[in-house]
Amino acid sequence: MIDYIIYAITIACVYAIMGIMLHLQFGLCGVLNFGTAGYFAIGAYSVAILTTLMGYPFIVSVLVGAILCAIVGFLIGKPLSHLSPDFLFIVTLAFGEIVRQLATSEAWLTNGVAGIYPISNPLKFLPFYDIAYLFIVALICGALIFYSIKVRASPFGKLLIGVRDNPLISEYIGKDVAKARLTIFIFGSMIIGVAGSLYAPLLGMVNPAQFGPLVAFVAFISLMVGGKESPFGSILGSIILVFGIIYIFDFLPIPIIQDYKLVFSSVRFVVFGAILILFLRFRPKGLLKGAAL
Amino acid sequence: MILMEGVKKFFGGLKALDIDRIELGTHHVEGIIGPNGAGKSTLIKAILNVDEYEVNSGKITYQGKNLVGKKTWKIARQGIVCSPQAIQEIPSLTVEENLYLAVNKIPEKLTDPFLRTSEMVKKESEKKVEEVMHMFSLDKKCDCAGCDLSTPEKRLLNTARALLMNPKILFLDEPLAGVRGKEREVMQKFIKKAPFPIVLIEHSPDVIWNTCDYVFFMMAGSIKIHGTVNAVRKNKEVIKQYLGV
Repeated sequence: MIDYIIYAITIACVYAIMGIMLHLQFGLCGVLNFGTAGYFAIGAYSVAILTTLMGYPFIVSVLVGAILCAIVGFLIGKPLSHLSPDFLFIVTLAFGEIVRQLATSEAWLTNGVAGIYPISNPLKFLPFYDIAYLFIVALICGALIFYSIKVRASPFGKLLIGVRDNPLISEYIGKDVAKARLTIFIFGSMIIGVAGSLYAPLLGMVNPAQFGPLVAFVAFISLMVGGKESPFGSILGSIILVFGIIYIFDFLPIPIIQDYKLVFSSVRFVVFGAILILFLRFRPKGLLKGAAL
Repeated sequence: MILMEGVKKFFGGLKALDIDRIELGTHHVEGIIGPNGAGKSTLIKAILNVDEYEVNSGKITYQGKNLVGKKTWKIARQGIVCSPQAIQEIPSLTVEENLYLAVNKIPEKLTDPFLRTSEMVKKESEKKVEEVMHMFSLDKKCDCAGCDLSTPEKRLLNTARALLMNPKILFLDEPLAGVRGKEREVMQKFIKKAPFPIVLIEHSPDVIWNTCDYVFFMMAGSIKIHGTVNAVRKNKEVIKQYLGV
């Protein structure tokens, strides 16, 4: 049981890293990145391929994954950063799918649908390695939360808000809007890649099915529910959605729910959708409204 | 200072700008007048090369340096600053943040939270920003969100922000629309006293006659008549087409 709780918290921290990046990209700068699962997959596959198949150290493969994500982020973001973020939404959504399809079809590299396993925990040599791993992941997560709190008050954060609220006037006051969008897009992509790298050893395996568009959708719904303008928004949102809804459906001792568990596991996505619509209608900024002005 | 030669701009089949030659910024305050749709705002947007307003042909130079095809933010950095007609505040930032964003000349970076905090920016230009805030009587509103300001206050914020950009030439696109009373006086005083050339688009004839030194009359995308205030004021064509009897 303890093992399971530690595992769950570590996973939560990994998703929180992703959520913080979406807060920076979408919440502050208005850059829609639906390719989340794609970067997540690139990070995870880098670790799987480089450590399990090729025997490189974990750190090296995390770095390679991050650099790959940054390059891909640059290639996608550069031509689109001059346009309104709606275009980025379409392209990144497609990108996420392309990565998944590539992971499925390029079997020589990724072992196709079967995936790659086992991916051993890089701290396996320590006595309580899962706690140590949680500690490291939580540390990274904490550092990023700290950063995102600081960034809102910094000139860069204000520029991001300016770019989101009013790109035209930001140009008029001499700000490179495209570069601001590109910077936050690449930075976010890179860190989401790192989150993917941290995720791979937790599950011990990677396969394409883990990186469906649902990853991005759930992440975005959490962000909208929790509050896209607060660094803690996505974390609160995930707690509500994941623990509140997925686990309530799974563990609630109501006989009907337990009898029809399989049915309800599909119903929860309907619930997610309904929640999203209700929030957009009645509380568009989410539960946490972001730092006071 | 800004020289436009043979500038043409089409929106589909519509000729929005057709300018043989115009020199802007040679007098202290220059006014551009003309009926709606004459191309007054388009002229400014063409100089700043705003998204859909890139000119189809012609030359635009600032002190001999080409401006055509340059990015808007780079042109703004050179000191060609515009306070646009539509009210353009950044609604989620406070008045103070709006102004400090404009005054910060060093490009913002990811490392800002550690290497260049808002406090440092504030220290650098506190005097200047406070002076401007005081001048436009925005100091009482400095912690107020941009979206909570009244229309005249937003106009003042627009102009204050433009002033903080250190303009070498300032375009004011109807800065007095919707501005009455005390705010109007503040704005007019600022226009008269500014230490750099101003190009003013304005519909109110009184303001033009009282503040401008030189006036351009635009119609259907081109400069029909230009000259000193008195010359334009008495020009029969201008009276017939625009001012009325």
